[in-house]
Amino acid sequence: MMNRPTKTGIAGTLESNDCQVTVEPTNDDSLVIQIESVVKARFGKQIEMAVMDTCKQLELVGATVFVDDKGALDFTIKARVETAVKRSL
Amino acid sequence: MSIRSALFVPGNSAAMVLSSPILDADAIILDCEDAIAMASKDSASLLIKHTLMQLPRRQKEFWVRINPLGSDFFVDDLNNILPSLPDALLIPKADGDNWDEIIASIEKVENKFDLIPVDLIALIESAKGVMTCEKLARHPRTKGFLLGGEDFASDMGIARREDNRELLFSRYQVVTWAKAFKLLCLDTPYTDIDNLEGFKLDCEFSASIGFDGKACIHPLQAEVANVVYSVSDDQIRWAKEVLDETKKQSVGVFSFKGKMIDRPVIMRAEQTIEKAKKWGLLR
Repeated sequence: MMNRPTKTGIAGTLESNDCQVTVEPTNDDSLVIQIESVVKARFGKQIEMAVMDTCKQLELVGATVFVDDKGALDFTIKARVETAVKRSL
Repeated sequence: MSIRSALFVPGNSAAMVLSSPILDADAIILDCEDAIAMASKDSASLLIKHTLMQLPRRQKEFWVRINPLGSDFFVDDLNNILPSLPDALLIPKADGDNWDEIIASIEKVENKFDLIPVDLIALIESAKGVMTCEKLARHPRTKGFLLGGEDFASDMGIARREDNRELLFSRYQVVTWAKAFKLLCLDTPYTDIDNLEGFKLDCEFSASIGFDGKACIHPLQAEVANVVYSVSDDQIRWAKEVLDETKKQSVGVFSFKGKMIDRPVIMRAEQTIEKAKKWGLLR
């Protein structure tokens, strides 16, 4: 069963080694990922992959996922995405 | 299980969780409970889950203090944390009345995910917990005790003192039941983080009555605890000499350097060498 956000979900912080993730509902089934990161030039693809993997595992549709990254590692990004998604349902 | 220092780390702090593997503690306790605000309980539980799934962890143990039975977060914590294979769960508010129900809940999740049973450390922090710890000690799933002085004092309606005298009975009770069943036993945290000398004295007392180690709330405390609850070079040397002499003797009791050596003394020497091996202190 697909999961569709019904409200805005926010998780994480803007502290060093963390990221803040905001999940918002859209009007269609699309999944849009937006990333802002201090290390985007070097790790942007890796961050996007961590976000996408987590969204797929959670079967998320109809959402914009915005990640404001402050140098978080993969497992932190995945945790914050999962928390934000669950808070948005 | 041999732990001299177990350091609490707030489970929702990405930076602190990330740095925890390099801290000088035998065990890291990733905390979902008291260190976490109500609004962040879900966030902490999920950060710990993803951390344990990916963080390399071979040099030290990673435990998780979950939220207590009866809280809104207990079942979610079990479902998030257990599949990520922590080395142990620290169970708050444990007592003889709730232990069976707690373990039944844990086993339900372990069976659901087909998991190897996790080690369970009972956090004894109430008058009932202290007075019923025999039941906890006798349970085959219990691997250790941690005495929680702050909650215990609140439950008793008493103030904490600098010398921890108000904890005397609970300390003796908890550590003696732990030793009776060969369980790990860790002492309560020392909350004055600026007073390392007071912390050291507190560790020395608890080590003298049998505690294996100390719960810590600052990395500097862990460094001190690792020394106090360890074995010294002199103790190792003495133990080696006693065991060497024992091999030469054909009688059960003999005199060595003016002291009587019998079976209990030999056993203590063996324990000293065993600890030294565990902590890499044998040269």
